[in-house]
Amino acid sequence: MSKSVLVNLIKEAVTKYSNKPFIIDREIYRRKTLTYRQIYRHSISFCSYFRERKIKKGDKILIYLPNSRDYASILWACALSGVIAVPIDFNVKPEFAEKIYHQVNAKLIFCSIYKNVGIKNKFYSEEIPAILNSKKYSAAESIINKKLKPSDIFEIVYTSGTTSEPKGVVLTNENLYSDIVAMRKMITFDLKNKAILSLLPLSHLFEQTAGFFCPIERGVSIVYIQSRKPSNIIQAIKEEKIRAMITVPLFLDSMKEKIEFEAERAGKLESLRYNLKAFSQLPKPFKRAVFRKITKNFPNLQYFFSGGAELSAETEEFWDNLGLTVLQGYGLTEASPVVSCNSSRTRKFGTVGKPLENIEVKIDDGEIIVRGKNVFKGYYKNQGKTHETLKSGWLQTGDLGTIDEEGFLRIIGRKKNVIISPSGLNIYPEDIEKVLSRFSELKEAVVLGLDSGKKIIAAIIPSRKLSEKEISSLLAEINSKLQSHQLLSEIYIWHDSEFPKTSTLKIKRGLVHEGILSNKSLKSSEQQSSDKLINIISEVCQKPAKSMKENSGLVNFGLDSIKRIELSIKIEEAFGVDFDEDSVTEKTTLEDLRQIIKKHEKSKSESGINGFNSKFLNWPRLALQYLTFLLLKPWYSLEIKGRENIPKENSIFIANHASHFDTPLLLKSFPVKRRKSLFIAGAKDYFFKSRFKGNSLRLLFNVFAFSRTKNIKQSLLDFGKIIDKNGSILIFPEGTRSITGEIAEFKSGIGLLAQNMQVPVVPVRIIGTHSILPKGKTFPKRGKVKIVFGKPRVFNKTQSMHEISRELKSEIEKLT
Amino acid sequence: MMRCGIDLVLNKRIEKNLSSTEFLTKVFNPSELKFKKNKLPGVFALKEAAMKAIGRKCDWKDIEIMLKEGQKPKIHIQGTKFKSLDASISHDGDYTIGMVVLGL
Repeated sequence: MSKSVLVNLIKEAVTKYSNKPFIIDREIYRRKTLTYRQIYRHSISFCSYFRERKIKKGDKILIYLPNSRDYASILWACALSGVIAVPIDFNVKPEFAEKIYHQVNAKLIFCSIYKNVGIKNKFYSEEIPAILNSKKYSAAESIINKKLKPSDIFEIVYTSGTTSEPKGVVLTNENLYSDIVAMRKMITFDLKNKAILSLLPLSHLFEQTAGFFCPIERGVSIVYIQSRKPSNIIQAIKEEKIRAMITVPLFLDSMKEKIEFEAERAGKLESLRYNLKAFSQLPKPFKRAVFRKITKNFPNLQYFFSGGAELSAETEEFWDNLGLTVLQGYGLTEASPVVSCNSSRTRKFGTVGKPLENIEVKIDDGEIIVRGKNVFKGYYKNQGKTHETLKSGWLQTGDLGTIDEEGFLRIIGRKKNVIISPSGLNIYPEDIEKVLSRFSELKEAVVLGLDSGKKIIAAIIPSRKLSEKEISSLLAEINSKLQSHQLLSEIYIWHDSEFPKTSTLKIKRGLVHEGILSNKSLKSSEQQSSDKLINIISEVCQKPAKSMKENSGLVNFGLDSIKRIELSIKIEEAFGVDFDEDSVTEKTTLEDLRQIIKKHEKSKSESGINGFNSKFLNWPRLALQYLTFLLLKPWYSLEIKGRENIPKENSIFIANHASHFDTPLLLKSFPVKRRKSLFIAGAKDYFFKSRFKGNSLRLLFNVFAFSRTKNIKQSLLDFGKIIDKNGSILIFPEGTRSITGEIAEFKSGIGLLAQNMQVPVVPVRIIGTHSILPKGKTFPKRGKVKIVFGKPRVFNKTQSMHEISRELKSEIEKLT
Repeated sequence: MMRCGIDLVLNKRIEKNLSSTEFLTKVFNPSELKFKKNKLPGVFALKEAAMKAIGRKCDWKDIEIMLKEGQKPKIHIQGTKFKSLDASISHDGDYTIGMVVLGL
């Protein structure tokens, strides 16, 4: 049997699935697919980068990035080299990363340039292509550390925890290896070569084990998305044919609410609820067919793994009735993390499944305790806590639970959360919260014990504004549904859109408790409005919500440029739209702003690519092009140089522009095979003024419209789409034909394009066309034309746009 | 024709936003984020001043500022035509001021 080290898992997968897609990275403008072999190559490059920076086995590096192909490669590189990974949740503040960096005495941090990290030894993720594209770091496989032992530390994971002080959980290769091997036995459904969608951060161990290391055994593709907007998630699920997802209950709850909300709007909520119950006994495919109006949004999705917090029975049943299986599991970082899990074969509602193979689970005085190879060795430099948590090999989970006669584990609550009543009764706040979750007036609720258990209270966030009277009648109604020892003595309104939460969306009870005691976070209810937008403006402008009327101009609230940016960020977060801050002017009123947001919710800008760019027209297009070349033949003789510089991969070609002869002759100089996939960027305001002209150019030269000034985002989306679909782009960065024949200044937009597309840029020089047909002339005269292809260049995202365009211009000028 | 634009920034209002990824993404180009962090209020002021000189709002990232120690800042504005441009930054205590002059 092979050693329990992660290297072995990785090598096995790479040998078996070499050219299968592994990571599908949906960036804002690009969709990049990397195979198992490519990620492996990248991780070897990182290993060799570590070696160059003298980062050795046992040294620590911080990974403070969103999920991405680079994150995947760095994690693998750590597994291959023995360098210890310290993943930090991308959503926490930079100060936290700095603190951990110094605590673990790390050697390097990988972070984004958009995070203001005050550490000297940092490497910006935006510059990672410099490592991956450099020959300097293209080491051989022999760089892999062959002496790694199961007991070697793989990573230190900082638990966000519901308490304030973070603890570093030290995990060895064996810890993770054993959990991964046990976990994959629970995936009994067909996942081979299918895609899963990742939503949780890789800094969360549930995502790492179940969503990253586990699936590689089956050659699964993992899809990462950069934008978490609901519309983006749905689109990804559909387009990538997602089969399964690793989630937290809150996600399943909110998707359920969304579906119910839509049904309610259509006046069909009652019938949906009725039908869900009525058809619940049907086999899964039938249920999906019955509810196809809903399930058509996720046609291939069949399984959810849910962990991290407790899933309500209602939500589990809802999805099951729709024909989607939710497999609930239980775990904690200290157990690498999965302890138990339902599988599609052995499954029981309302439980977290049976313990995984080789993991012992016992109930000790109500508390769940765990033993096995997956259990961690201790907290980083915190012996006291380690002793408290590990007692003779048994992990004290702090969770309360029961195991039924069939062996299914059920979670009752957190030991820490238990309220002990003055009479010694155990009161589980989770039980009361379950009751509260059925009240539609409540968006979120937390139950806490005050005065050492003498008083049980609920902090709530109402879903609409409640009057004093309504609150007291609500309290009475809630209490009528509770047991006598559970009765609430008071309801506190929490004045925020949600409770403070951890990265996995668990409510930080400690903070809520503090807030209630200090009464600080409880603004008096008059100051707060029930309107989301007014609250946002009032917060940004530091003005009372009361003063805001529908017709008041936003300028009156002191909205300057900085506040305007802050406002647009908050609006984007709250309404899930792309918000263009320029749409707010001096005259905009609150009412206008509502309209703008509504419009943004719907708006879709128009793509510059249309049916005439279709590849079905490739052959007619080629034929027409030949005809054009023939027609122009009397006026030119063509010499082509440097064709060997044309890269095999999709690229951006840039050329100087002096004549209408440029486009056809340039096309002629491409090999036919490449010409078929070449798109030419044409200015919308010039070539596409008339539809006839535009579509003829599309048909003949595969020109697509792009805007030189407005809506750059849409243009970049178009460029990205073309490159993703195996196309290359030709662009004339001077923006127009040069009058003198001299090469004019390049638009810095070419820099933006090079930064965002991350493909090679090939400079091309056209010499001689200017004397055949200069700008302004109608009749050509005969001449010699030379077209020279230069060496491809790849640019960094952090390079200045202007510098890129200047460099490219000088490259073209050098070509003769 | 000459046009000028000027903008005064209270540094701490920019500093307060530096830990917001969304703010940095909206306002600065990656090349600008490579400057020392205490330069960013100046970069911001110059961008705002440039918009005032052009006479209209544009995307913050269409304006690219290049700073070099001991040199005047350079500005490149995407999608706007002008003949010449000059810019200057000044600091005092809690404030930074940026000024742009355009020759149209």
